[in-house]
Amino acid sequence: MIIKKIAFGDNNKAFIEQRLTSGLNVIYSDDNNRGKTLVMQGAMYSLGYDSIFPSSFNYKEKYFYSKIEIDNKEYELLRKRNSIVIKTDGSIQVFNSIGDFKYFFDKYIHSLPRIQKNSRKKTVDLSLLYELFFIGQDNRNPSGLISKGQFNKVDYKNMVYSLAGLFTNDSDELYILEIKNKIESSKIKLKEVRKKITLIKSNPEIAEIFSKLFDSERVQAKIKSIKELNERISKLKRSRLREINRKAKLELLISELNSLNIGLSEGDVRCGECGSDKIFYSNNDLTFEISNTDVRSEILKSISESISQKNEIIHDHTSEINQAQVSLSREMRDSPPNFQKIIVYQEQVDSENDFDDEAFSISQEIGSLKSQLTRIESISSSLKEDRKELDKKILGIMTKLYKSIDWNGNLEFHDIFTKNDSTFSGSEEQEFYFCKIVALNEVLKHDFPIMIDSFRDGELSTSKEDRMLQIYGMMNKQVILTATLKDEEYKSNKYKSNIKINAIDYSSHSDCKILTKDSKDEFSSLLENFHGIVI
Amino acid sequence: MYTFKKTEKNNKKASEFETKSMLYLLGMRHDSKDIDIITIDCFNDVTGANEEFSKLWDVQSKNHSSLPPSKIGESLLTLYDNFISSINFYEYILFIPKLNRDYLINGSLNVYNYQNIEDKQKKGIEKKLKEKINGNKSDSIPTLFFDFLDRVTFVEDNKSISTYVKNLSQFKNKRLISENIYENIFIEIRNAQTVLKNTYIENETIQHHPSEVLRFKRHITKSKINTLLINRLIGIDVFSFPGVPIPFLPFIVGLDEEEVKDVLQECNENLSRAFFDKNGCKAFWKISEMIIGLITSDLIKDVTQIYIELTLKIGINTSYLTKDTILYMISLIKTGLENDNKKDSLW
Repeated sequence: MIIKKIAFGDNNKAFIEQRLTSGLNVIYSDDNNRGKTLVMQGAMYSLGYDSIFPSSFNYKEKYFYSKIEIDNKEYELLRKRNSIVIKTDGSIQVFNSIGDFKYFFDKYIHSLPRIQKNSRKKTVDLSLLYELFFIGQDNRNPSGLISKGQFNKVDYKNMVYSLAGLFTNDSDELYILEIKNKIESSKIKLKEVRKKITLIKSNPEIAEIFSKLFDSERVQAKIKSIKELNERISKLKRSRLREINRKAKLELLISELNSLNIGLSEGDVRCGECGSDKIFYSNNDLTFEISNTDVRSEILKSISESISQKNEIIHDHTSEINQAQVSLSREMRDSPPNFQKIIVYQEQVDSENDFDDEAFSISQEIGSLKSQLTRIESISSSLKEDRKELDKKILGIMTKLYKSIDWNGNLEFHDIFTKNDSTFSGSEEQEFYFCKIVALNEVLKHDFPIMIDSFRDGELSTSKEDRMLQIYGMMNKQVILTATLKDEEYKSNKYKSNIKINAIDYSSHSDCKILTKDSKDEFSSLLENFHGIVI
Repeated sequence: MYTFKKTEKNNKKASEFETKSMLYLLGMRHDSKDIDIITIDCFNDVTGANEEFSKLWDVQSKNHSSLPPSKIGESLLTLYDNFISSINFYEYILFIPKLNRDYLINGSLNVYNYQNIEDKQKKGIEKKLKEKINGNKSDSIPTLFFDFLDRVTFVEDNKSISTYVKNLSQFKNKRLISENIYENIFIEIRNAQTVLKNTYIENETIQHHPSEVLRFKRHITKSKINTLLINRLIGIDVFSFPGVPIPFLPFIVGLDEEEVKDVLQECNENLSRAFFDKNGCKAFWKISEMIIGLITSDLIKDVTQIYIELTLKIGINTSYLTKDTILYMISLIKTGLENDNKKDSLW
């Protein structure tokens, strides 16, 4: 994948970056707040990443555009909030959720790795995938993931294994621990729910307490967020229902098609005189069959693919619904000031919630977790070995890379994530990320560019930086880095003078004002490209 | 007057070669776009013609694993007969496997004329051809013998079956189509071609104009082949076209995402019914053929316009071919044909 163009803005102001090349690019400026991070995060955002924007930037009201090339095919993407439009020659598609976009991405753009999570095979989220090659400036954390979604670092490692062809159930001890914890917390949850059930039954006059507290501001805010969560849940439930309907229709369709394809003509034609069945069609317009076996089997294949994709979407919706329900109950649990009130809200706003059902599903979950645990603990040892080998390989490359930029360095790598308690000093964290990202690319040979925002974070020394740039330059793929230069570096044309670098200078942008009216018209015409689709 | 002679019933390997030569005429030549009709085994193995039959491309195909000069000379006989007949042909083509490179002056060519053949082999060719024409070994020079040889084009088959089919297509799918699928389409064309030979026309005559050959119903039109191909490729797109084909956008404006999904699924369901319905097949075929005709006659024309013109020409009363479905199908075909006619990439 190559990123060719990045743009963002609204109807009044915009910024467009189209100077990127397919080699090593460094975006730099002589001071902070020139928009480098916005461009990096903006590009990733348009691709479906869960970007972290500076808080002063109102990204929810902006459009984010990018033009990328994968396998010699160009795609244009446009995102606003959680809606994404993707356009390629001849076709256009709108998605109102990143989750839906993910399946399209998987099927038509670039297949996404599958991992085992909660005893199901899951397609990873784009945000998780993108952390293979993108390091943002904020919220960095060498011991974990930058973006916090439904996936965790165990999933990340499994994704790496999956990309390396070492896919199967989780064997990680961490994961076993996670399941054990889950069982524990599910048991506590179950207890709570059971308590609620008894409480509801024993407190009929709760409504009174509720009305007295109703006016307080905090309660109002609570109600609002609960209402939002409920709306979300019901919206999800609606789209899940529609998907279930579509799936059912497709399943019916398959049997309908099979019966349509049985010709009406029973028996065959024979010559009345000699009894031969070699009767030729003649003096008739030449006609072909309306379809052949290839076409019919392709159609059936596509339909079953759609069905299994719908299954996955339905499952995703379900887990999103569950998540929202969990946040809903958390929202209510955190409520002030006493437990009884919580139940009132719950009854008031979420009459659908049936504790009996919940208790039942939790105990079921505990059951399935337990069986999962047993299965995982007995996983084949050969895969474990292969994975260990891969880990060793990655760590080996990381160490080699580290030694090549920092001859006297003392860092030792034990994992692609650091331990929670380990701390880096100075530029060590930066060096760690460098080694990790480059090593992963080397081992997995993935198709994505390397993108690192603020790649010299932590006062990286000039000699180390030069060696890093040299390695980036030799990677034979698109690399996009950003850096803020010191005065003397800037004056000496640090990057411009290096012919291997496509140096892009952002210094002329005024402080915190990357978006200008100048690019407005060009940006509007980019938007018009999407045939007036309003998102 | 022209009398049909030496028409043949062929074995599979030879007919495959004839199909190749037909597809060569329809898709591999610089003037392929002028060829509208192919007659099978009338004037010659395969003869291409424009719509008015004012230009004829005459092809003799010879699939022998080895073609020594004598075999080549023998193969040229029907072309010679046509050369001296009352009909003027525009091209005389001998469609053959790759010749031994020693026979050729410039061995890098795959399409060449008689001058590219070495003198030694020329002698052998001429000797055998004369023998065949004269009916004896007298070695006398037949009428216009050398004029004929100067007019022959030799075309070597050096491509795979699927390439012949691919070159025919002006249609581009979003997905990669496997070789196998193209090969099966080739077989379908070959079988259709074979069926045409099942009539008997030996010693039939035509009096005035080559177009009279149409009455023997031994021809395939380019539009039929085109429809076959596009139909197969569209069929493969059903339920797998990524997103909304752009020409279809006006019809989903104002719908929300869920509604759009429903409309698309509906259209795909209906199209798949059409492709599976053995009994409604003729109507659907006709509709496809017309849509392709309307689109290729004017690529700018919009989907609604095409739909109106289509429904004026033909009544659509198959229950599942709803208006939306037809509009969707027009959009799919239009997208496939447009893609092929524009070059992408700005960067």
